[in-house]
Amino acid sequence: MRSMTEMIEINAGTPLNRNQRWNSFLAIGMVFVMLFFGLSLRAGNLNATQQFEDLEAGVRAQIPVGWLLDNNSSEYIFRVQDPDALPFKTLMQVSVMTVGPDATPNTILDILNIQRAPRLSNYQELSRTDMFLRDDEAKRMTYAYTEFERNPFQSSVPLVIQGIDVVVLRPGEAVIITYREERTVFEDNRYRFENLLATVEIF
Amino acid sequence: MDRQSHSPATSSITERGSQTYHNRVGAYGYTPEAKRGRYVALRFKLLLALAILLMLAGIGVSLLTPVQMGQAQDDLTMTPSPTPDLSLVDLNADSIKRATVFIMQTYESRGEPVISCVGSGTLISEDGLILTNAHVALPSETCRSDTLVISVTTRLDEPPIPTYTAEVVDSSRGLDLAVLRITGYMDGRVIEPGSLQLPFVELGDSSALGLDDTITVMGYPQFGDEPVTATRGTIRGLTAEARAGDRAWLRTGAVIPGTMSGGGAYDRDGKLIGIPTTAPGTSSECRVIQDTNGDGRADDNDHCVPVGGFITAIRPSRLARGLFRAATLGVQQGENSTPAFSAVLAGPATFTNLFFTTRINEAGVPTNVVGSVPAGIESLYLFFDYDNMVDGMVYELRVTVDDVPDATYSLPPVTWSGGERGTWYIGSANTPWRNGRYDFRLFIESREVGSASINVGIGPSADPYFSDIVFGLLDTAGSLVGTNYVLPEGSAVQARFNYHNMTPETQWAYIWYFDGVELPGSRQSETWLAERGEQGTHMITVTADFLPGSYRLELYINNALSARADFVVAGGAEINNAVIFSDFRFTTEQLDGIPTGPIRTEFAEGIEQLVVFFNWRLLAPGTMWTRRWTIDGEVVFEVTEPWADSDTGEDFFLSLDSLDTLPDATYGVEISIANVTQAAVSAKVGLGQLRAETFQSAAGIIMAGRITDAETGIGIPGAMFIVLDAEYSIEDFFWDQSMVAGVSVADSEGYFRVPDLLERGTYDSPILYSILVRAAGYYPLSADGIIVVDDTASPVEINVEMTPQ
Repeated sequence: MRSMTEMIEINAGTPLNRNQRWNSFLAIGMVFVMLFFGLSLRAGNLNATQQFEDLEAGVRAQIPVGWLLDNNSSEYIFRVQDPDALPFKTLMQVSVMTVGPDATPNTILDILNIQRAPRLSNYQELSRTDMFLRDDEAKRMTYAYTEFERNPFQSSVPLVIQGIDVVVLRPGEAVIITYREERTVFEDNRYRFENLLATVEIF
Repeated sequence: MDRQSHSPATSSITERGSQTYHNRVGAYGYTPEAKRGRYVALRFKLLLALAILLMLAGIGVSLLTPVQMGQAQDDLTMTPSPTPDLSLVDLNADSIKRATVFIMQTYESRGEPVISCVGSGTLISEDGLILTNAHVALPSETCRSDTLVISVTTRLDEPPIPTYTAEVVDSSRGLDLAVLRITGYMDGRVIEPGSLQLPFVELGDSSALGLDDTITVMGYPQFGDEPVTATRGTIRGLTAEARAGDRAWLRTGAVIPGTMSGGGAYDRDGKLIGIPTTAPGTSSECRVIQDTNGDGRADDNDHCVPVGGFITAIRPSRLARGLFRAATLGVQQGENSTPAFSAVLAGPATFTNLFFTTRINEAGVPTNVVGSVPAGIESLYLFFDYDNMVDGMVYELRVTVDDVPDATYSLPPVTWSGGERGTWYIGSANTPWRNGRYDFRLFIESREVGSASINVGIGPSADPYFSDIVFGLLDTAGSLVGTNYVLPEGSAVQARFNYHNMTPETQWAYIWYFDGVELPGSRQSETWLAERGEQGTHMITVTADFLPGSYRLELYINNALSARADFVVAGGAEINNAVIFSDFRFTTEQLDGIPTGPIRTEFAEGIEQLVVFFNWRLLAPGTMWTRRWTIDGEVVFEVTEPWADSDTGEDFFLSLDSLDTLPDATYGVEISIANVTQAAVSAKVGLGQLRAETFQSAAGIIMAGRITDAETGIGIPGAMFIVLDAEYSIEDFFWDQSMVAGVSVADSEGYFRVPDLLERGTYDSPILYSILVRAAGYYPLSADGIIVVDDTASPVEINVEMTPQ
């Protein structure tokens, strides 16, 4: 403590010359630059992605780093969930459905609605629009339902979940790209799904 | 547990920076020169800037770092749950209580659901198979039902909550057992197969239980308005019954309320060894709950729910094993050549020809007839003929010893399982029978239909008697061959029996019966010849046209029945044995009774149905026959009923269906008559044996606990608790689901419970688990090296305090 006191006294009694002032400005400037760099790095890392590739299914996509990846199910090619998200684990997945030659994206969405209605509580389609996915015609559907804890031994308040399905057809099957998020942060985190759509390759 | 401690990552880095800063000031702060001082001051600012930069970078990195690998955190505590207060060695009362469900039969009346009957049940698989009494689940006259509602205990000190709907997968009204499957939620949404992860119990070995063994019975004592209850007791008796053997019922002295019927009885290891059972319609109390007739009042004119009575009988889980295995494997009995037998009752149900025996042979035939027995016996059975019975009827045996009712030897009202007519027995084996006069009274639907008495404890008797009748054919050398209780059609039958204490000039007689009617000219009365001696073996021959059918021989001494045995004549003789069934063929399809699929004994995996065809000859309609389907040697279906086809024919078929495809296994068909196996054939599907992981094990530990905010102590809803597969540590984990052993998301109060059972290790080879806890806005936590050995108490309680960022 003694050394600290002496040092402050010296600084207080000696005016800084120009070089010293510039050095101070430079140091402070460096702090802001590095802070900006750090925050950019943080943002970049938080949004960092890694490549997922399933050659057998013919799907390649960039998925968020640090999300729990499940590609061992027969129901989908892959599913990723954000382990940090509260209270609902943000979900994105790509699945395929075998379809006949006369199937259209609209019929696929109808089938999805029929399948989900008895399984998801208060399931309701909100909108259906046309879009292009890498030059392929696709159909985009938004929907909502209430999610509850499936384990009866845990208490929970039902959550309103909003979702998006993008359906694109390829010979013999339909690819369904899904995003689900809790309603209040649905729009905030939708950019992740848009990133997935921008990077997904179906081959 | 090997626990390490470590502060949150950010704290560690900040402290190191601070420490570094402090040391450098100490090194350069003692010079008196101003220039040097300014230089030092500049250095100080630069260093300060650098330090701030490092702090910011540290904060940024710490925010980005998913988790500090391989280190346990201070805020994580793990405490095994206290041993359940049941004094049972390994009984995990918590898990068993959660696996105990409350079942309500409901129907819709005037647009409103009405509860008609209630009972208990037990989850026996993770995906929602429930074992219970058939009368608890099946609709009946008193239990109108179109929906089965399943309530589960979410908090052990609270009543169950209606959560699911279920369907009956398979049932036996006679055994009063049923297996249900949870199929939907209360709001009508269906449950995808395999999506449930419910606590469940394993079936134990009920045959290993002995007298005075401790058991614990779980169920709901009231109308579902009280928590699940555990009642302790001991095995006080074992009741024998025809077809089910010496352990048809376990008897207990525990006080078990009637609504716990269908629940579970557990041994000291926490395995399900029985189903507490009371007969339907015997409840002494009935509660009016709802206005079911719509008159605006809930009174005696409305439907009432039976809830009273007490249970003293437990169906051994052994008898439910076939139902459970079939339901788990997704197999069911398919179409047969003849439709399922349904009795057409010709009159009131009767029990006749009551007599006692002390021994029953392997064919279920009484070897002697006794009117009194010496002290010290441990087995006594009451035999009788029955007619006009229906499976599911209620019958009862009341026994008094010296005019005092005795529950040990009695059988409370239970369901009948013997079919329409035949011979039945009830008694107790391996149970000490104390001296006294025993009066047996039999009841059908509360109506007394027969009685018999016997004295136990008299001295050794010197009275003559016969025993051990067997039947056969006489070979050319005059010897009895092919001794059996199923004989081929022919013109002569020999009977051999043992005699004891016989004296010359004793009057004895024998009578032959065919389908319950005395064979003309078969009654013979004789005087015992001195040259035969006091004891030995004697043989009698009757020559008659023995047509296919059921026969009986009765032996009398001094006009009192001394021995009795039944036999069946069927099939043709081949080397002194009766051959009834032949030419067995397995195939995968049939059309109008003709095999249309490939005929072989080995099939590729993926078939949906297995059909077995066979021919038969000289089997009289009405003859009782038993067929069994086995999978890998275990019986999954067993049906005993009268033969309902012609006496000779071809291409009789039995089939086994699957809900999806038949699992790889060896499928067998056994056919027996009079408890004698007549044919046993098998075919392989796929690998020819069930895969090792087919049947889930309830062994393992559960991880549960609470995730809270370290500052406020409030639970963090939605926090994710991940347990890695034992072969991975935190360092190895790269967020692939295949590396995860179990996941749980904290509920609205921060509580989590990993539904997957985690494998136990041993002391020599412990299993080490790693865990991660994640929640947005909090520093991630992780820990390696959570040791699980064979006696680790379950659930392992892990309480996590997360530090806000």
